[in-house]
Amino acid sequence: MSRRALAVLLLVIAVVGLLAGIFFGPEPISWSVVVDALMGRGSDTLHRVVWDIRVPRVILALLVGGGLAMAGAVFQALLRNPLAEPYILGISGGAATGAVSVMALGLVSLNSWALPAASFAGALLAILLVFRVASAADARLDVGVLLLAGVVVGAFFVAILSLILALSDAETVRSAVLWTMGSLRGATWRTVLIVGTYTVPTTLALLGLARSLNLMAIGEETASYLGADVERVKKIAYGVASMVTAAGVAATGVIGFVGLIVPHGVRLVIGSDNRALLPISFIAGGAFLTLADLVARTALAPVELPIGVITALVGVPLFLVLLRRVVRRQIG
Amino acid sequence: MRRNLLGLSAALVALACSGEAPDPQVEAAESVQPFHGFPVVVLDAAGAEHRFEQPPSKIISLVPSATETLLALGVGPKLVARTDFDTAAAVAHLPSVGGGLDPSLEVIVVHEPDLVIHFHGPNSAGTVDRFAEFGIPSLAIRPDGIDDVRMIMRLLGRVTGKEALADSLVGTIDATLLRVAEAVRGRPPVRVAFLLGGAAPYAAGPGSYVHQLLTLAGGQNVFADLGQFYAQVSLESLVVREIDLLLLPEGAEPPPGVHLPLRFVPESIQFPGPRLGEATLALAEILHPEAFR
Amino acid sequence: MASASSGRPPAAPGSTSQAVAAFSTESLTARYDATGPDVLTDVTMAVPTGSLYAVLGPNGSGKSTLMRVLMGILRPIQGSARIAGREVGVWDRRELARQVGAVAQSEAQPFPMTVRELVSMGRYPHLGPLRPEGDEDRAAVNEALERCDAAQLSSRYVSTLSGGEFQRIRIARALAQKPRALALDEPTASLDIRHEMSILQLLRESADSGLTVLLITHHLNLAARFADQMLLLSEGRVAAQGSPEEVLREEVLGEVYRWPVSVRRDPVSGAPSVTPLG
Repeated sequence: MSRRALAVLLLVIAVVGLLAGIFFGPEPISWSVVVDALMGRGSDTLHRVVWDIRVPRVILALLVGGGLAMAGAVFQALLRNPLAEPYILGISGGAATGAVSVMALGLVSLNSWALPAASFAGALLAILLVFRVASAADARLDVGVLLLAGVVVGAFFVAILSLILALSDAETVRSAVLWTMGSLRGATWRTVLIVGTYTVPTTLALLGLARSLNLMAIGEETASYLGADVERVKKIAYGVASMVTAAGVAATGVIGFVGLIVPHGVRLVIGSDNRALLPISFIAGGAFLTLADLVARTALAPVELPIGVITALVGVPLFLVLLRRVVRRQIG
Repeated sequence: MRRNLLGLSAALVALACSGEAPDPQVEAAESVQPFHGFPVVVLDAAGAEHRFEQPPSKIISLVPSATETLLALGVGPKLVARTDFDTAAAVAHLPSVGGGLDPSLEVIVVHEPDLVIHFHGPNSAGTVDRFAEFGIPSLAIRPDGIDDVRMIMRLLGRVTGKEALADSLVGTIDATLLRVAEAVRGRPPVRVAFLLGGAAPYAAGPGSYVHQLLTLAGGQNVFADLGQFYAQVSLESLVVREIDLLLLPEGAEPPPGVHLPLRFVPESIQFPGPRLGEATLALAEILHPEAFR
Repeated sequence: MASASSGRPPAAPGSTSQAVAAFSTESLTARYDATGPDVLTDVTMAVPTGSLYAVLGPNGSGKSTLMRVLMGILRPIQGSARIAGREVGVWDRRELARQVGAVAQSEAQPFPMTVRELVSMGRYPHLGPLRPEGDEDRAAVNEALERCDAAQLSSRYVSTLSGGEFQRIRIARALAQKPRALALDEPTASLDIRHEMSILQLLRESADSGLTVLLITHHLNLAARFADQMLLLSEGRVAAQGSPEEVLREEVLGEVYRWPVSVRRDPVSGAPSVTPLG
């Protein structure tokens, strides 16, 4: 399938996901009523349900899904490792620790923005720590050292997190676990605006770095020989991809698998050229998350399944299938 | 399922209580002036002020014990939805909004409530903000202990225009507690522990509701030094601390290898609510059976 | 196809005698780790434009380091390194990549890629981040594949190639850059005779057609047959430099490699031939 054809197909799926997410939800609302609500006709309540609950939610799903998928592709190129994904450098551990600290300290009751702010801060702290640890060992930020630092810092944060939970009461533990599993329930227009503000410019920046990322993926020495300013690319790409991931996690908790399997799936169809891989992964990730969220919201309505569970349940078998095909192709 | 039976008995008790309380004079007065006592300004558990010009007509309670209280106050007909954890038969016909701590916003909004009652927890500020966005007043309650139960009953009574009824319900509870206190007065406290079963048991500590009930019922919680609502205790401590009677909720598994006198009590005693009086009485009857012969 | 050193065409115009050297260093000292030992000490050398210049020496003598300094990846502690007379640090990376096609010792292949995609990366220095590939670029890629006898491999996946084929397409990528010089770090290590000879012949042809070729290798005899000039490094210092006859002498080699050798003139190729004794 050509790149263009895949891009169009995924765009169509994303649009279908977007519409499905607006027309379907835990509360059964008939199509004609939804259309009325979209147009501003009909009851004010339903208008608000559609415009202030469903629409921002599907848009957030598109943004976060897209951001995670693209960040995943970027980390895979930077770390030259197909198993890399957005949380690999400790981001999920840091974000979760930030969020849970705030929950345990009861700060969320003071201000509901404390939670996303703390998780964002935790994510950034984690990644700064990873770079600090890695550069102390090796100033060149060798990929192997970075990955190791990521594992270590991630483990450290998980330990702190576990300690906090061990000393917390049952409600905090429950809230923490739910948050960690990820959810799009917090989607308001304000959240969409903030996440959008992070996602749009960073997406453009990463698209501009696409060729450089192709080079980084085959080795930093070779990348240099082919004209890449390796240090600059690393700083910008790591920084930007981390920010997009951190913003996503702050808004929705830790949603796994999107950043790992979506880029691989796209690669299988159109190859590894980041100039196509990055934007198409964005669209694919957005479509995937929108549809996953639809399932999360409606499968056992009114109970909402944690979306991280859906992405994993779908993601794991998908990933295994892809892995076999990729390995087969690589072995030739 | 046990829970449903419990719910049924709870509903019956609630109905019975509500049956004996209303004062015909107050009722007559209410029907003449339906908004008597309004507007009402109350402060909820989060410290937020809420003003009601008239009693809310569409209520959603996200806290099962508050639902019970509302039913006891006779405002059942005003409830428009319930949670999956509301086992009272009186609300079984209502649509569910999911769990009480993470309900579906969409389903709630669609029912256009003019009052939502939610549990004030570590993550509830976000929920409150979202309700506020939709112009839905959200009352935070925190039923942790006995005093909270009284406060919440009165709060809900004020907000729904059933203050007198609420007061009398509190009075009934207090009367039962008084009866229990008299019955166990002077008797040596029974050394008791309440455990959530399993191989690594959690015991009720001094902050918990169960602890309060046990104390009132003439028991002495051997884990009064726990420093928390519930905490994990070692199997060793169960042996070392002299326990006269071990209490577990019905259906729980006793901790392995522990040979102590054991009684199962209804699960509901863990949850602060309007049945506080009966729960204390039931416990007292277990701890000091001879006082009730 | 060049064979005997005596049959080599005369030095191309613009070489040592007149114009600026393609690659040169002066009293170059470099190290990897700020606190570590010097890997190169006081190295002065010059690669004549249009020649095939081999850099030889035992393992750890600093050969790869020299290429890295020349290509601007490692900064000298002392002394200077220049490309076409300009200090390396001054060159813009993309401009440098348009002038020099460098092939590192190894590279990673974490993701599946076709040969054409890989070789097309050689056009990036010309295209920059945004400009899409044009006819000129495709032509350059095709030409490079032809020259490396790899055109038939263009739609294969890189991971399915043999070692020799992979090296050929890496060189094709460097040629697709349309550079004025090539720098290669051990391009024939672990390759069999056929692949090794075909690559060296390709490099020789490139040098003959005007490219400067800087070749890092540890194959003394092949270097002797194909190179115009050589540099012998020993523990980061220059042990000898000049023509193969000048550099490959028994005493020097014996000292540098710490093994007795015998150097004879090879009857078939006419180039000096080194045989380890014992």
